[in-house]
Amino acid sequence: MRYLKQGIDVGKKIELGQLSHVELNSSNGGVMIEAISRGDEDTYVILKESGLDRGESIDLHEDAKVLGVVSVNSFVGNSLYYCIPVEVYGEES
Amino acid sequence: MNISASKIEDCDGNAREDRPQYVEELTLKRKIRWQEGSPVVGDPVGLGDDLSDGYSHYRRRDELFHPDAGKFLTRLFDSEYINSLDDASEELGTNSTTISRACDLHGVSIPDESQSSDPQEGGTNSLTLPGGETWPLKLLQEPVYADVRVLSQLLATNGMSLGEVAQLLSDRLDRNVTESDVRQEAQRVNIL
Repeated sequence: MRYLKQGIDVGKKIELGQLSHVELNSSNGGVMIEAISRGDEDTYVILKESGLDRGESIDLHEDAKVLGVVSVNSFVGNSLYYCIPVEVYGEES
Repeated sequence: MNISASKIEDCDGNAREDRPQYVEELTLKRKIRWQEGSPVVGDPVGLGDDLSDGYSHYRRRDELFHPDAGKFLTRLFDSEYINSLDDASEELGTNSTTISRACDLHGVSIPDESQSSDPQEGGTNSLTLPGGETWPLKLLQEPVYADVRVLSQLLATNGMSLGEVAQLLSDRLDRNVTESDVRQEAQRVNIL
């Protein structure tokens, strides 16, 4: 088990296992993840969908793992942060 | 140039229905800049078509990190127009650091910076009309949109609308020519 606390950004890689107690917080223009990671960890790539409206449907990659929703400011609206296994990139190229 | 008195008499500044087919097939030049001219990747944008539609297949900014963006980036850097990271940045309206990180993620190689394209010049020395005839600018009035021969050819002979003429001249001469500019000069030389 590992306590995870680090900044996340779109396109960056992150090592994650099975996540629990996930919290996303925004501050100073960045986003921070806090979570408990259990078990074997794999490398994922951080992605986000921005400007989400209430009730809007979102199509994510089948292997996507949702991290959470962050409201940065009222202008940008809510952003859904998620991650995809880095292996997916080799398959899609 | 082929100037017809009857076509000038009928000219009202709108697109004429019986105009030559080659006018319908006119497209904007490909230019390295986000939503300026035809896109470097994909089909060229037709004159009068919505420019944003021509770029709808583009991936930019955070979208470049999506798994399916690798193919787009490969096509972008395979283009003869894109010879450097700066070219790609200009074309996508996306900062070069983001593009570089996305290429690294997708395994797309970036050309050596020393191969960068020459800056796009703001002007040209000639104007090619829709029929294919090329005129040196030194033989035309300055500004070109005030030249009675050019206006007669485009508005009357080619049956183009004021807006289409403005867009064509802006695109071919790399200048900002407005519909209002064209209307004003067409009225001055009695075409409208």
